[in-house]
Amino acid sequence: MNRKALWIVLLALGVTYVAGCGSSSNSNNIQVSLIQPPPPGFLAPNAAPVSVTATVTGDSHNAGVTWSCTSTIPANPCGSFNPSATPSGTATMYSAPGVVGGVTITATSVTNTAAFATANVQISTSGGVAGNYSFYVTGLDANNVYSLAGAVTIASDGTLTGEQDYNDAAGITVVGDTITSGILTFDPNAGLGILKLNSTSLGEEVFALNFVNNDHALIVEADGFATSSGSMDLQTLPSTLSGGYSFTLSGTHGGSDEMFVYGGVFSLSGTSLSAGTMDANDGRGGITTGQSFTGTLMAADASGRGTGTLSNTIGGLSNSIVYYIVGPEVIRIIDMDKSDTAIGSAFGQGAGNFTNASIGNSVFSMQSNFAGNLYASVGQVFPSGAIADRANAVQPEGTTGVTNNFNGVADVNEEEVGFLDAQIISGTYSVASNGYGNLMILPAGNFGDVSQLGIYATDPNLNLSDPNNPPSPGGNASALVADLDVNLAGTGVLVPQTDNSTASFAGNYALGFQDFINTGTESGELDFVGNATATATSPTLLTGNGTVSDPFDLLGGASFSLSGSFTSPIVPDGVNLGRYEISPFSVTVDSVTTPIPYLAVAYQASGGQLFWLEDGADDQGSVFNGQIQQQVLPLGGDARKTAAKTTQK
Amino acid sequence: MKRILQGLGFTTLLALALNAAPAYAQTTVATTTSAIPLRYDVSKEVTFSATVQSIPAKSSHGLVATPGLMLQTGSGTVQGRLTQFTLSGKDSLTITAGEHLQVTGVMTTTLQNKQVFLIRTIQMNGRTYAIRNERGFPLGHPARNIVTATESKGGQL
Repeated sequence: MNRKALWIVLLALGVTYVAGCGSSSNSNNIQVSLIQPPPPGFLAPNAAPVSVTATVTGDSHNAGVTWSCTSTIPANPCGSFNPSATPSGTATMYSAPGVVGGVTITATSVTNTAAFATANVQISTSGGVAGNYSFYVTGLDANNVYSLAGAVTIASDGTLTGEQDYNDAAGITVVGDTITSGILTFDPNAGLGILKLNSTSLGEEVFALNFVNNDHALIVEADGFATSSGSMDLQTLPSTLSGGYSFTLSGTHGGSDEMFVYGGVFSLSGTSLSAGTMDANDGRGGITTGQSFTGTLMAADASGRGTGTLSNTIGGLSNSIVYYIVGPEVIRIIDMDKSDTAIGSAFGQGAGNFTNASIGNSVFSMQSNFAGNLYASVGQVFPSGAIADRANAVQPEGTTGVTNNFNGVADVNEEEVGFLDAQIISGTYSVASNGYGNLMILPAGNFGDVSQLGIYATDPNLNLSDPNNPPSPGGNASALVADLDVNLAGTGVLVPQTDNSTASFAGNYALGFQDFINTGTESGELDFVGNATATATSPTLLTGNGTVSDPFDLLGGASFSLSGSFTSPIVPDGVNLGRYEISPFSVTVDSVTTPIPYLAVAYQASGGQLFWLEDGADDQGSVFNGQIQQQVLPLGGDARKTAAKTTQK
Repeated sequence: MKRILQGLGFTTLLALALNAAPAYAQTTVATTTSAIPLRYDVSKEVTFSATVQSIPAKSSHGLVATPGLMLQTGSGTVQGRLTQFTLSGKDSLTITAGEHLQVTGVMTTTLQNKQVFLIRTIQMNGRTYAIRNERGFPLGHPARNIVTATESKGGQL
């Protein structure tokens, strides 16, 4: 369902609500009215009781009303009233049933049962959030690194169906797995919730999630079988895909599990993929840049899922891929070869015709996957040179343009060989008209093992993290990033930095991170998704809670899915505006005796979006990287507003 | 989730592993070199014998400071670095304190100016296991990565 269709459904629900809020009179002129109907919108199953009130006029006996209800689903419970009869104008408390569905509440005159009033209420677990959503995650299960992508159609009561594709490096590939049922439940006032999927081949999967807004959620698989991080986004299905795209993929080879990353650009027209140029950093095969490739993408099905094949690519990306459309300019891609696994995204380039001037002040963030040399890096860069090029000077056809300079500051955490905090960096970058480019941090070795990055420019109007919503105004193009260094491989993003003021880092945020751990004795992955409140006035604090997925029992907790909470100081970097130390970022986890003594650093692209990483100074043998995204609360607000507005008429 | 239950038999896994290399080798690649110094330079490998002095202990929250394998050699103590697959996960190795090993790897200086030894192969109980490839990237399933004698490289510490 696209966004327009979603509005139509929500509007219809509002109209249904009003139509159902009826009354009846009789020859004795007794009239019953619901002067306090149930709250507009949706009630969660077993929600806290709500008060409803009816008045009776024309009743000489003044006998009041009796309360009753029926479910729209035969044999389903509809809830209860306490008390079940009230005098006119006196409230009763309605308790919602434990199951989803529609309920009709009726107040009936005791004196004359022909006089009654009704109201409809929807029992929903998803706050009214509904539509087609695409999701993708990558992380770790018993078979090592895995990739999972899919799409679900979520009804307004939270129930869902869909399909998904799974691939790991151990040769297990599940193609077109039907999601036969499932349910989305979450707290509209916080965004925190659970997505459960039941599918034909993979069985039950459980994801913890936090909605950033109605269109986008951060998700973490948290079912004890696997842990991973990713995104779930509302789909808008185009009739066809076309134009220029940039992409990155991160994966591992089967057998020996060497990590690899790919990045590049291509053009789509119908089913034809052409003008592909890709880079690879392959732990098995080495570093390759500028490889031309082509391919074919078959048309997507009703879920936005399609298949494709690529030709003349590098490494394992040569046989079959599956893609899921998020929107006309956003595609999730999963490599379905049995000999390896990889997953990533392709983003549209809009009008294209990039130059070095397309990249402005930016924040970058990147990370390995679990199979690589574990690291994460986050920083900010400021273009500083080649004035003529920045003024959009015409470049000779077929050239990549002149090289720009930049300076900046960044942090890197390499699990095996240490960390650098607030390292001053500089270097050069270049972007060709097709978006293909590179960024070099120089001199090589000045910023740990991070130096040579492939960058692939995307549409300046795209928000890479939340593609259904626009980026912060005033920014240049974003780019996908592939780390092409000899000692490290990783993928990430480079997004415009439009607001680095400390006052803007305030409010409600959804946040998550993917934590790779290697203590020497044990290793594995933790994933966290939650929410937090950032206060901009002293004391500046980041206070929140969420779900820790720990199927490898790295924390020694009582379960694979744990509750974590934190209250951490936010310390703005007095020298580097936009950089914050969130230290100590001490996470208290239920049933775990000792809080995890993280230190963390965040870089601010805008008040709505920050990227953070674990500061290696905490010496925990772990590396995390993630996002902090400002929330729009309450969730499901569109439905609530529609219903409330209509009711007031 | 049924994915674990779908685990393949060893024979199938072996076949997949054997098939992976030829599939990859079909590609034609134009490799480039990075200006950044090699963290793992195979030409600088050394091999030495050591006794495992200690392995990191698991703390109450699972994360520990100073990860690494402390190795006692004839000339002192060396902090050896294992990959994330070496002691955890499928086909991992078991190493205990007091065990005698022969390790091949490269000494490197961390960003905090500490010396650590990046271990690529471990010889114990008559077998040599590879835990990294020659570029220094971690290798999964080390217990299956048995190195033949002719692949051993490097001088002596």
